Amino acid sequence: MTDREVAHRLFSKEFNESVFDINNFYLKDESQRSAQNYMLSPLGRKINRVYVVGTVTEVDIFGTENNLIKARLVDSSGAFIIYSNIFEPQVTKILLDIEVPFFAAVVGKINAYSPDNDKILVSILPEVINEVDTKVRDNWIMSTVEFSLNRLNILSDIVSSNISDLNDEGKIPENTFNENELKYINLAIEKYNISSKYIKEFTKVVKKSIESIEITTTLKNSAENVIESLMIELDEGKGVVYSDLMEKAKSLGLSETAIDDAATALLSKGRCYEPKIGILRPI
Amino acid sequence: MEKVKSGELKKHIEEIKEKIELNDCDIKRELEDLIKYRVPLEEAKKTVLRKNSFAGSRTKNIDEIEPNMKGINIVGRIIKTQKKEIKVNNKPLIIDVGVLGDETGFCQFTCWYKTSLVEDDYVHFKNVFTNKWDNRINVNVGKKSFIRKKSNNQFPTKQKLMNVKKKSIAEIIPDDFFATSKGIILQLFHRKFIDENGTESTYAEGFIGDNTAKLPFKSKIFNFDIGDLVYFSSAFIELDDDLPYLIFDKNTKISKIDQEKDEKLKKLRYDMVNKTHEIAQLSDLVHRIYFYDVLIEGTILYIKPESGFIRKCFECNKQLEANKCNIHGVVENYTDIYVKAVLDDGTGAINIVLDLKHLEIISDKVVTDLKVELNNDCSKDEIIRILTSNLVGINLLVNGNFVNNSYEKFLIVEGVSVPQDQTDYKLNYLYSRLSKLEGHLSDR
Repeated sequence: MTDREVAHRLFSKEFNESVFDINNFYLKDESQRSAQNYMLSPLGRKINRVYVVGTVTEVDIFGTENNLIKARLVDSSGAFIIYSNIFEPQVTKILLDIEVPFFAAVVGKINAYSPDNDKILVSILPEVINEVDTKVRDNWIMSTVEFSLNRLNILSDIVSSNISDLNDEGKIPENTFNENELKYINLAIEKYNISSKYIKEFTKVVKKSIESIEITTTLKNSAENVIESLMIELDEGKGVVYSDLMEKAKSLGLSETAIDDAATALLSKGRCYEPKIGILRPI
Repeated sequence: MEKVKSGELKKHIEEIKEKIELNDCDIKRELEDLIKYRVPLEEAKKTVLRKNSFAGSRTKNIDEIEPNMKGINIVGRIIKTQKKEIKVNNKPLIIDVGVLGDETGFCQFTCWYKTSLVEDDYVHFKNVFTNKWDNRINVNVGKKSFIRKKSNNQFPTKQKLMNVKKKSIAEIIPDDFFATSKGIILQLFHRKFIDENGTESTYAEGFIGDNTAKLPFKSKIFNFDIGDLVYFSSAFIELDDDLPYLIFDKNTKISKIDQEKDEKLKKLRYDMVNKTHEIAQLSDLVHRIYFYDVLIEGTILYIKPESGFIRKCFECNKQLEANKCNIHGVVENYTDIYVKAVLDDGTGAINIVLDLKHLEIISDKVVTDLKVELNNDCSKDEIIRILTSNLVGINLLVNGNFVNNSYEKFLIVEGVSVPQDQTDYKLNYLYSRLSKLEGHLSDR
C-alpha cells in the first residue's frame, strides 16, 4: 500500500519558487522515480500535496469552452494560483458561489508547466476548498511559520558552516530531520544556490507573516485583561454579578460578544470560577 | 480421439508415481479429467507432474517465508495447537490452527484437516503454501501437503524457543509471537467469566508499560498489583483486530522486581507516571505497526466518500449489514453518522473515523445541519458536502489506538477535542525562535 502524501504547509514565496522537478532529475535512476509529480522547494521540501490557507481575491472562468476556473489565493508573502476544472463540483461551488474576498483553506496537488522552455510556473490543482474563519488562518500561519523556521535553522547552519562533503554526518548540526529529508535539503542548497542572503530574505517573509496575526490577539488579550481587572475591582468577597460586569465593561467601550468571549476564556483558563450561575469570582 | 486403454494408463501412473508422492487414485482421476477435455496424454502427464511436484522447492527457515509462496517445506516444533470447528460451504470442518517455531522465529499454521498434532511435536511440513491471515503470515497445510512427525533431540525444545530476546515494550511487534520484557502494571481489572464447562472463574486484564509504550494484557492467575514492576518472559502475543495484546499463561514466567533497591528502576517508574500524554508527530508514528494510547494534533483535510449515515445495533453498537446485526440478528437499531476523514499534521497523514458523539464535541452546527438532512432524506453527495464545508481545515486533538495494517493507517478514535486557543503562547514561542535565528544570521 502506498502512503497518502503529506500535505505540506508552506508560504506562497516558497511554493512559487519550487521549479525544480525531482522526477526529471532522477530520470535515469529507476529506483528513485515515481509516478507522482514531485517538485523541490528552495527550503528542501519534496512537494506533491499542499495545504494552504489565504484570501481568495480573484476568480475567473476561462478556457475555450469556459470550463476552467482560475483563482488567486493571497497570503502574507504573495499569491498562489489555483487552476481547477469546472466539473469539480465541490471546488466550483465554493469558488463561484461565495463573493470574494473570503478566507479559504485549499488542499491540492502541485502542478508545473512551462509556457516557454526557460520558465516554469507552478500552480495548485485543488482537491478540496473550504471557506474558513480567521482562527483557521491563524493556526495555519503559526504551523507554517514553525515548519519554515525548522528548515531555515538547518539551512543557515549548513550554509554558514560551508560543509563541502554533504554526506559527512559528523558535520551536520543537530536537527530533527531524517536522512531522507536532509538529502533533499542538500539538493535544494545545490540546485537553488541558497545563500545566507536568501535565508535572511525568507526570514523577513516569516516575520511579516507572524506579524499579521498579532493585531487580533492583542485586542483579545486586552479585553481579557480589562475584564479580569474589573472583576477584581468589583469583587467584595462574594463574586461579581455577571450583568453588573457587563454594564461596567460596556461603558469602557467593549462590545457584548467581546466581553462574553473574554469571560469564557478566563473561565477556561481557570483565572475565575462560577460559584453560582450568573456570578463570577476571580481567583 | 483415440481412447487410452486402462492398462496403458496404469503404466503412465506408475511413471508419474516414481517422481511424486501421490496415490494412484488421485493421479488417475486427474489424468482422466484432462483426457476428457481432449488433452494429449503426454501433455496431461506433464500437467499432473507440474501441478503436484514441488521440484525446486527447498526447506525454508521461518524468517525466510513470505505471503503467497507455494510448494515449500518447513521444519519446526509445534508451540501451540488448537482444534477449531468452521463451516466451509455450509459443511462443518475441523481444522488445526497453531503456532510453529524454529530458531529463526515463529509463524501461524493451519491444517485443513484433522490431525494428531500435539504441542512439542517436531514436524516436517512438506509442500505447503503461505498466505496472510490476521496481518500475520500463515502456513497452510492443504490436501496435497504432507506432515512427517520426527524425533530430534538436537532441535531446541518448546520452552527454549519461546524464551525470546528481551525487548522494550515499544519494540514488541505481533510477528514476534512471544515477548520478554519488563514493565509497570498501569491498570488492572478483575473480570468474571463462565467457561464452556459452566464453572465460574476470574481473569485479570490491564495495561503494562515502560517509558517507551504500553500494552494490554490478559491473565488467568495474577498476583500483582497496580504500580508493581514485573519481569515477564515467553508471554504470547494475541491479536484483536490487528491490535496486539499479551497473554500471561502457564508457559509465561512472571516475577516482581524490587524497585526500592535500584535508583534506575525508581526513575523508570517516575518517568512512566509523568509521561502520560505528549502530542506525537505522525512522521514518527506511521512507521509503526501499532501504538496504544497516542495523542495527535492535526488538521482534517479530506472527507472520504464512504462517509454517510449508517444504522447501528442497540446492543453492541456495531454497524448493521443488510439490516441485520452480525451477532444479534434482526434487532432494534438507531442511526449514526460514519465520518471517515484524513488527519494531517504536516509530517504525516492517517485516517480517522468519527461518529455523532465526536461531531457533537467538534461543532454543533454540523450536527444540526445533518439532522435536518436526515429528515429530508438527502443524497449522499449532500452529506459529504455538509461534512466537508464544516470540518475541512479544523484543528483537532484526538487520542486513541493507532493501527497500521496492510490496507490503511488509521486511528481508532477514543476521544476528540478542539485544542484550546494557545495563540499567545505559540506566538511568543515563535517570536523567540525567530529572533534567535535573526541573531544567528546577523552574526555571520
